[in-house]
Amino acid sequence: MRYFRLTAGFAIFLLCFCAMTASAQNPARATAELARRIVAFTGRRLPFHLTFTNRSSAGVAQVAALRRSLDRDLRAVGARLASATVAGSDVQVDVALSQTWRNLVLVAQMQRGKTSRVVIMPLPRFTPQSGEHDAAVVSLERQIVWRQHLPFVSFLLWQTPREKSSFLWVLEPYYLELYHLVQGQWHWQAGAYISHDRPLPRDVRGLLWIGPPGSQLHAALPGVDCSMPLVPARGGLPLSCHVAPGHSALFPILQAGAAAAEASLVPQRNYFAAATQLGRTRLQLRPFYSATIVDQDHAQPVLLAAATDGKTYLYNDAGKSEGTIDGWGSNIAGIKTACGSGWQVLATRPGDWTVVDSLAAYEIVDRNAVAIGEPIDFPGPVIGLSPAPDGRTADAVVLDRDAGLYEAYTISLSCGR
Amino acid sequence: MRPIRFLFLAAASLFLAGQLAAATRPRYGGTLHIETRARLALLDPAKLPAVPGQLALANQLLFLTGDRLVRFDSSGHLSPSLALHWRAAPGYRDWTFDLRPGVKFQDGKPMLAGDVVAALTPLHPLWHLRAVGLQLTILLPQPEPDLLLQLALPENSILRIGPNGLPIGTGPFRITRFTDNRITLVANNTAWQGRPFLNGVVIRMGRASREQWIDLELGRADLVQIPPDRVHRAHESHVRVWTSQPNQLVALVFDRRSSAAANASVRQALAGAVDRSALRDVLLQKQGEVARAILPSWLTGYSFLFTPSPGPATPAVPAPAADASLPKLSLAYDASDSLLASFAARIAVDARAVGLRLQLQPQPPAAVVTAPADVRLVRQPIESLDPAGALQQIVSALGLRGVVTLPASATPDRLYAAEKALLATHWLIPLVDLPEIYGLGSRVKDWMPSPVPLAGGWRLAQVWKEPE
Repeated sequence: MRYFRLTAGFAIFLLCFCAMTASAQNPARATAELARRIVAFTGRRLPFHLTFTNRSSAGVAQVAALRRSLDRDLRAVGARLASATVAGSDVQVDVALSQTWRNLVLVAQMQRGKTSRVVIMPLPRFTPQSGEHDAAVVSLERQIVWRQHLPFVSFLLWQTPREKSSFLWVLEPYYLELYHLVQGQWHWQAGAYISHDRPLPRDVRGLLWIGPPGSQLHAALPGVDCSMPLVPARGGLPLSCHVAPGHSALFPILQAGAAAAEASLVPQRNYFAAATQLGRTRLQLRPFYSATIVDQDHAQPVLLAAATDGKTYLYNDAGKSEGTIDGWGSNIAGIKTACGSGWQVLATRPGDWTVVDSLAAYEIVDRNAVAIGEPIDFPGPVIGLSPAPDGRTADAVVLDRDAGLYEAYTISLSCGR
Repeated sequence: MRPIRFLFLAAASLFLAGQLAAATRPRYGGTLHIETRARLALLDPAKLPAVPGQLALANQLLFLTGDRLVRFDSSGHLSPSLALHWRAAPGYRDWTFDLRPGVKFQDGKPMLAGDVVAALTPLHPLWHLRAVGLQLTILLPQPEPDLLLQLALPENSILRIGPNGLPIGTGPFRITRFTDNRITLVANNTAWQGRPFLNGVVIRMGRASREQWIDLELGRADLVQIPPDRVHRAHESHVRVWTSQPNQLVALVFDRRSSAAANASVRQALAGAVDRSALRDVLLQKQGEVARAILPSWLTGYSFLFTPSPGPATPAVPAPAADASLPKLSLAYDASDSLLASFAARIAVDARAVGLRLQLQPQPPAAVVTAPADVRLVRQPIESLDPAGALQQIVSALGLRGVVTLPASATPDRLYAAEKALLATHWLIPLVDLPEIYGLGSRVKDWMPSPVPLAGGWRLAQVWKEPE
């Protein structure tokens, strides 16, 4: 069993709300207060019929949960709920779950004889429940690892060799944090701030990777290079950061999870400079968003770079372009698996960030990309993709715009199904 | 009953033609060309225009050039912007803000709390603002629990005026040229939120709808306004169309000085006569929403409680056969507004069905408010994201102060009661809620504006343009 796979039910996410409206209560308090006000109007002696209508975009599960909560709170304050035929027509309460642009709203219309009253109770916006996504029934599989409201650009799962303890590193533009898996739940262990002496560009690029000899964690962000021991001592993260020369941070180009080349992030931009290195060769590449190295057929390494002109270029180890691939997006990652030729490239598709994204797997055959299996979809754009340390899987960061959450996925390729 | 759509994604409809699914990173470069009908003579937060189209454009420019102490994130939550932290003393009169360090204006000058004081004081003369280094304190004349909602509005952008009279802010774009028909903005390379992807934006003002459409089709414009009755043609032409949440109320407002309008049954009769569905379905081609209430549903969540006025009712006046004897009301509206003109003609037909004769009086825009008329047909923008504040502004702008007592504290129950009471007087007859509608060029990418325009505007800093 892969060390980083989570069993169903304990995927947990950290919700970080930036702010809440002053008037929006948590759902439990809101239904309790609404119940109190309903019973204050209806009284405790008369049975009444209550209808509950959903006028919002909340899902079925959330609506049902609110309804159960309200029923429970009504009974707790002595309300006598009854069916329409039993209650009679004198007392009627109609509750609607509505919403504004910022939060949900419970609206109760109450009628008792000729007297009517309206109660309006704001609620916080509902949040999606944690849970396991359905595994795609295709060769590519995704497993959600983490989700949070605050943006993050990279993550890294790691297990200590001896104790088999699992750790999750999450790299945000200004913060690095470490979580420890205990009894199936991620627990925050430590964090460290990362300072920048310049404004960060929009579309912040960042990467976590394990450097040789396998005991150092490296983090790269615009203008900043950081590192620290992979296993931190107790009491904090001894993160050491320095301003990158020329504010041009070096990012590795990974081959099966190991750094095989380097590229310089252009200061104040979201793409990499043309020059990089492969072995001792300095390559002149077109500006690119992401790059990876795989062995194509005949075990010849090829560097693929998703360039800013929308094409993906293939470069041989002499740095000469041997062809282009059209129809890929700007995120690519190479993995080494037991499937097919042994090397695959995962690539997003072109588009922009207003639409959901998908990831497909390809093999490079004679400088051509051959799709294998079916693509898998994500709830938003893939904003980060890199090979995982084991080289057999990939790590993806996705922005779920619907939920307002940044999500971490591990992507694996299974074959033989 | 149609459920309210999920606001931040579904409600702002985006018709995509041939869009592929997935992600390409934004590209730097290019100039976005925008065309608008409205013209602005200047941009000054202390002197925002009253005409809705001009106000909308001014707000967009404020979002492009300046920042506010707080802002709305994509979920509608208030989040830090120029202020990193804030706290309110009990009573919500005394607020303290810790400003973000290292922010610079577009001319390189560091932003300090004193600059915030200088920017906000003309807008709020009754506030007592004090600056110490990067700490700002605001002492209010009365409690304001929702102060942050106010501070997030574009009118509270932190701007200075440069030596050439152009505003200087901390936002992603800087205005470099402002003529009577064109505004030129360039990217702010040192923006604290990161340089925008576009190199610049050019806004051509005073362009008629037809000219805008032609320019969009020819690729000379990237973003144009589309009138409601042309949306279907845009879809047929496979133009991407984006619609905001309705942010403008079209309404009939009776003049309280008018003796004819003082007859409550006349007002009620007209309220019941107007066929709002026909206005929306026919004249607006189903763009916009029938206005059940004064405030739109996305702002309050309870507008469904208001049922439309009952069917045409005969006013409590004799209904003689001859036209000349029918009760007559004068209806003033902006003559330059073709939509209001078509509304007025339709309303006049509806009114006749219940025995009311409307004499249409098209007026120059500036004269609509002052012209002696019994009733006015107006567009009233939503100018606050706080429901109580929005209702107060509408009441004040439409000359309806004192008709009902508005609640000092903004609990939803009281707000609903006040709105219901005001509607019951029929001094104000809501008709339809209008959205902003734009057509987009095919090279415009990552178009993700705020569905509520007042909460974030076009958000051009994240837009990029595909090279030809």
